Amino acid sequence: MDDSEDIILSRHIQLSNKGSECTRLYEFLADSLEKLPVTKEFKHDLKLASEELLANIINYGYDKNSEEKIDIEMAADGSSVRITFTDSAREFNPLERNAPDMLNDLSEGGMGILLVKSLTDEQHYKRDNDYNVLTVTKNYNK
Amino acid sequence: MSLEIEIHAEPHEGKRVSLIGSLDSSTATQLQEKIDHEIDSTVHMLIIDLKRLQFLSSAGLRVIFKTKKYMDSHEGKFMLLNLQPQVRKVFDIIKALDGMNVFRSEEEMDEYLTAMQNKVLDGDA
Repeated sequence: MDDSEDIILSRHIQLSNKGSECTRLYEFLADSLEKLPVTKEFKHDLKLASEELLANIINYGYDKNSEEKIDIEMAADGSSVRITFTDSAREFNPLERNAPDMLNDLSEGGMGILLVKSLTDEQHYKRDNDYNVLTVTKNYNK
Repeated sequence: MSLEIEIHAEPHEGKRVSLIGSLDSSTATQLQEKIDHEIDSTVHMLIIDLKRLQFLSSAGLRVIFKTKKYMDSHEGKFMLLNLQPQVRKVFDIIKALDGMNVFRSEEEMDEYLTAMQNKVLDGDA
């Protein structure tokens, strides 16, 4: 996102590491994007990229038996939307997964990350103290 | 978003699985369990009808691939029908349509099945 553009939207939600949290994620995204001049396809693509990232964190980052929190922030300016996922799981960069050979190796996370990279314009990962911080950006007016 | 699954018998020892709603990480297990329960090696043709499927993520794709692999293992036919544009997009990105029988409409699928049957009758298969 361009620092010279004003942020017109900034929202936050906290989810737990349960598969059923998808619904809350979708509602959060739908509510947040409602007021922006973005296409249906844009909303779908961001929804799918977000679902894939959330699923990745839940499946790979966290121990299934522990109750953990995942923070999701959305910020938008006049030309792009940025979504940031912050979790306190073990150090893990999902962007490093490579695209697998589909039918022969049903690799869990690989397909998801391929989708995320295709559906968003920028992706960044950093490890910040004990947190994984993953950000995706999608442009809508450029 | 939730998933509804309808299963109907089809000719040629087939079954049609119609998916309604959303096939993602929260509903993929539901589909896998249903398929494990309803699809066995007596099913020689499996049609997955996606006309009313509005959303698909990789978790759902994985169940679809696994099911195709299962059908392949006993030489059953596997067909995908009526993909919505946003669902087709997912397949395209993953380049998952290669090697799959994908049909845009019932008519297209029926034509294919008729052609296959004629091949068998003519002794070509």
